[in-house]
Amino acid sequence: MDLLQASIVLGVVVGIVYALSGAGLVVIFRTSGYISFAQGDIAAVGLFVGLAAYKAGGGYGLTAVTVILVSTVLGGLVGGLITIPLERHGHLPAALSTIGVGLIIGGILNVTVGGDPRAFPEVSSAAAFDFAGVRLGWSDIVGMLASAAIFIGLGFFFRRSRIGIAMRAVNDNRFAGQILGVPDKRLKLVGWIVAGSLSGVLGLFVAPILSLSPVSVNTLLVFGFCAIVIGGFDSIFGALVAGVSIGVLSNLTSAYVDPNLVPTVLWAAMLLVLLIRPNGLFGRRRLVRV
Amino acid sequence: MTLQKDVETQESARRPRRRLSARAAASTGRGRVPARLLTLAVVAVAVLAFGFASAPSVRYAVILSVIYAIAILGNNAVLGLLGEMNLSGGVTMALGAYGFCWFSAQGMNPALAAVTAVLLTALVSAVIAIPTTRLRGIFTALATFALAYAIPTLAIYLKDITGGDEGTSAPYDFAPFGLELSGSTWDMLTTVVVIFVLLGALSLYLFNARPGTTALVVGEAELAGTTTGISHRTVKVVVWTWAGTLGGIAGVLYALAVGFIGPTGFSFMLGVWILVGGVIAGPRSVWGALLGGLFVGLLPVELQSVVPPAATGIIFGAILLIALLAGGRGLAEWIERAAPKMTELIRRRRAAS
Amino acid sequence: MTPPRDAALDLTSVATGYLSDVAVLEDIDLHVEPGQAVGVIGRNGAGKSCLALTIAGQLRPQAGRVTFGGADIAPLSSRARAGLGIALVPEGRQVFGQLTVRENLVVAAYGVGQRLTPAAFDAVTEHFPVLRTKEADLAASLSGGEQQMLAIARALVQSPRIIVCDEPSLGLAPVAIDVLARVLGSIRDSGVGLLLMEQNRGLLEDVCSSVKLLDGGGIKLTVEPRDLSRPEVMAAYLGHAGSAHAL
Ligand SMILES: Nc1ncnc2c1ncn2[C@@H]1O[C@H](COP(=O)(O)OP(=O)(O)O)[C@@H](O)[C@H]1O
Ligand SMILES: [Mg+2]
Repeated sequence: MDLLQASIVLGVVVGIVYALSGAGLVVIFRTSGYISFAQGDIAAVGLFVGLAAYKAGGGYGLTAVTVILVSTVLGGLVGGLITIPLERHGHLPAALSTIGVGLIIGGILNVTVGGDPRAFPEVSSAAAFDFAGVRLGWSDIVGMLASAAIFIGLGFFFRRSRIGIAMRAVNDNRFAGQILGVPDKRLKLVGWIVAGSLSGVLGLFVAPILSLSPVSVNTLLVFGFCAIVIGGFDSIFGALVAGVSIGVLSNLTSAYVDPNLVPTVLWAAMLLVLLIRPNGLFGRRRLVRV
Repeated sequence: MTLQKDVETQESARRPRRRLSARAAASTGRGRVPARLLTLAVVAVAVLAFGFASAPSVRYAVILSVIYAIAILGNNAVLGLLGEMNLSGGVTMALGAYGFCWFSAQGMNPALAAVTAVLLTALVSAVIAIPTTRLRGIFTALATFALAYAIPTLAIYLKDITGGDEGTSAPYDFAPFGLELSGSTWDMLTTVVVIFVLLGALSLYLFNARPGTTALVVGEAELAGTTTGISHRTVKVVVWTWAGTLGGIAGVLYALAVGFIGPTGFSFMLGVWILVGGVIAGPRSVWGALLGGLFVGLLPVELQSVVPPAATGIIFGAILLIALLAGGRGLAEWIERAAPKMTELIRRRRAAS
Repeated sequence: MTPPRDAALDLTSVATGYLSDVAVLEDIDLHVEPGQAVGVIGRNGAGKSCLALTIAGQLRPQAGRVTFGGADIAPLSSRARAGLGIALVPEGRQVFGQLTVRENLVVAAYGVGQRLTPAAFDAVTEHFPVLRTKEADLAASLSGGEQQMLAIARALVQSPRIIVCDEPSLGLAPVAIDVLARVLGSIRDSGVGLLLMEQNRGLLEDVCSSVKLLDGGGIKLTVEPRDLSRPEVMAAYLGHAGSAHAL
C-alpha cells in the first residue's frame, strides 16, 4: 500500500518534470514544425557552466541563473545559426541538423569535462511535508510549482499573446505570414530561445536526481518525446497530462515489475496511443478543407 | 564513365521517353541501372581489396562497416523514398543478432537459425511499423528513438533469452560451405561484401521497378500533403519492413563477426549512426550506403590515431552538418553530379594537349 | 479619412519573373491611387500572380521602377511594404487554417505592429458580418467564400492604402461573387486603392474604373470595364490560344 502511494505521488512529481521536457519540444514544434534532438545537450552545457559557477562559490540562485542563461543563449545560437537557416532545404535536414549539433556538443563535453557523473546541487535538501504518507522535499515542491507556472505561462503565451499567436501562424502558413509582414525568422528564433531556457530549467530539476553527465538530460528527452506523442503535438496541456501519466506509469512499472522495463513500457504506451488516437490524447486533427 | 555514356545512348535510342535527364537521374538515384551496378561492383571490389590488404584489426573494422552498410541500405529506403526518420536501425540489428544466437542456442541448425531470425525481425518490424507510421514524416523519429532507447534495458530484462548484462555468444562452429565466418577472417569479409552487393543489386532493381516508383510517389505525396490512389499506410509498412529485414540480416552478420553480443552493443546511438551514415553518404544511392557504412565503421577507428575517441562525435557532427548545408543529398549524389563534369574537363584537357 | 494624394502605387517599365533570369512580364506600367480600382484581366499563366507577388515584395523586379508615394520601394521586404500600406490578398486565400478567425486578424495586425483593438475588429467585420459570428471558429472550417472574406479582412486590418487582390473570385459560388463585388466596392469607396487581378469579367465590371489586359508577357490593352464584352477586346483576351471557356 505504501509502495503504491509512494509510486503514485512521486510519479506525479517527476511526471511534471517530464512534461516540462515535452513542453520545450512543443515550443519548437509550434513555430518550426519539427523536433529538436539537441535540447538535452544544450541543457548539459548550461548545467556544466552552472556547476562551475557553484564550485566557484556562487550560491544556488546564481547557479540557477547561469544555467538558464547559458542554455537560453546556446538555444538561440543553435536555432539562429544552424537549424533555422537549414529549413530552406526542408524540415528533414533541419531536424537532422539538431542530431549533428547534439553529437558535436556531446563530443565537446566528453573531451572537456569527461563522461563521469557528478553531483549537482538542488534547491534545498530539506523535507517539506508528508503527503499521503509520502515525504516530499522542498526541491520536489519547487520543481512542481515552477513547472506548473511555466505550463500556465506557455498556454497563455500561445493562446493569448500576439507573438504566440503569430508563431503558430508562421508554422501554419509561412507564405501568408510573410505577406502580412510577420517576421517569421525572428519568431522562430524566439521559439528556439524559449525552448533553450526551458531545457535549462528542466536540467536544474533533473541533474540533482540523475546526477550530471553529458548525457543525463538527454535521457529525459525520451520522456519528453513520449509526452508529446501521447499528449498530442500541439497541446501544451496534453504534454502536462501525458507527462504526469508517464511519471506514474514508469514508477509503478519500476516498483512492481522491473526498472529495466520502464523504457519499453513507455514506448509501448506511445504505440498504443498512436493506434487508438493517432493525434495523441489531446491533439487536434488538422482540419483540411479545399 | 565512357561505358556509362554508351549504355545511356543505347538506352535512349531504344526507349527515348523513359530515360531520365542526367540531373533527374542524379537526384532521384533512379535510371542508369547498368552503370550503377558497375559502380557498386567497383566500389565493392575496392573495399574487398582494401580489407584484404589491411591488418586484421582494420579488416575487422571494414567487416563491421559493410555490416552497417547493409543496415544503412535498408534504412535509406525509409529516409530516401518516404522522407521519414528511422532511428530503429540498431533495434532490428539487435533483433536479428539476439534471435540468431538464441535460436542456435536452442539447438537449431545455425543456417536455419539465421533465416528464422531474419524472418522474425521482418515480422516484428512490420507489426511495429503499423502504429509507427501513423506519425508523419520526421515524427517517426520520436517513436523509433524511444524504442531504440529501450532496447539495452529490455535486453537486460529478458536475460533468459539475451543473457542479460553478460550477453550471449554466437554459434562459433558455424562454417557453411567451409567458410570460416567469424571475427576478421577473409571469409567473413568476402561473405559480407557479397551479401551487400546482392542486396544492393536487389534494391537497385526494386527501386527502378514498380515498388520503388510507388514508394517514391507516396513519399512525395506525403510531403506535398496530397493523396494518391495508393494506400499510403500499406506502402509505408512494406518499406519499413524491408528496412527491418535488412537490419535483421545485418544483425545476424554482426553476431557472427563479433562472436559475443551484449546490450552495450545496441545503444540508441547505433540507430543514430545508421541514420547519419545514410544522410552523409546519400540516402538514394546504393553504393552510397557502402560509403556510409565505412563512415560509421571505419572512420572512428582511423580517427582514433588523430583525436581522442571521445571526440569522434565532434567530427561526425561536423561532417553531418556540412552534408546538410550542402543540401542534404549526400556525398554519393554530389560525386555522381561532379563525375561527368570531371570527365568532361579531363577530356578537354587531353584534347587541348 | 482621405489618404494623402501621394500614396499612389506606380510601376514604370517593370520586368519581372519567378526566376532572376527569366522574365514572365516585361515593360509593365501601372498606376493605382487611393479610392481607385484598377483591374487586371488575363488568362491562366498570363502572369497576374507574378505581378501581384512583385508588388508585395515576394519577387524582385528585374528592371524598371516600383514606387509608392513617389518613393522607390524595390529594395523593401514584404514586411516593410505591409508597414507602408500595401496589402496583398494572395491567390488561393492562404488563411491560417489552424487559427481561429479572430487569431487570423490578430496576426495581420501584428504584422504591421498593431494590436487588434475591439474597435478595429468591429470596423473590419462591419463589411463581413459572417466573420463576426464565426469569430472563434478555425479558419479551415470556413467555406471558400468565407475564407476569401477573411483574407480580405486580414488585409483591411492592416489599414492599407492599396490592396492587391489576386483572383479573389477563384472557386467561389456566384452568390459569393456578388457579395465580394459589393464588399470590394465599398472598400474602394472608403478611399483605399484596389488592384484587382481577375478572370471573372463581371467582378471587374462591377468594381473597376479601368482594366488592363495582360497577355503575352505585357499589358496589351487598357479598356473601360464596359468594353470588356466587345468582340475585339474578347478576341485580344482569348488571344491566339483562345478558348471560349476562359471567360
Ligand atoms: N513558381 C514558379 N516558378 C517559375 N515559373 C512559374 C512559377 N509559377 C508560375 N510560373 C510561370 O509563370 C507564368 C505566370 O504564372 P502566374 O503568375 O501564376 O500567372 P497567373 O496568375 O496569371 O495564372 C506561367 O507561365 C507559369 O508557368
Ligand atoms: Mg495566378
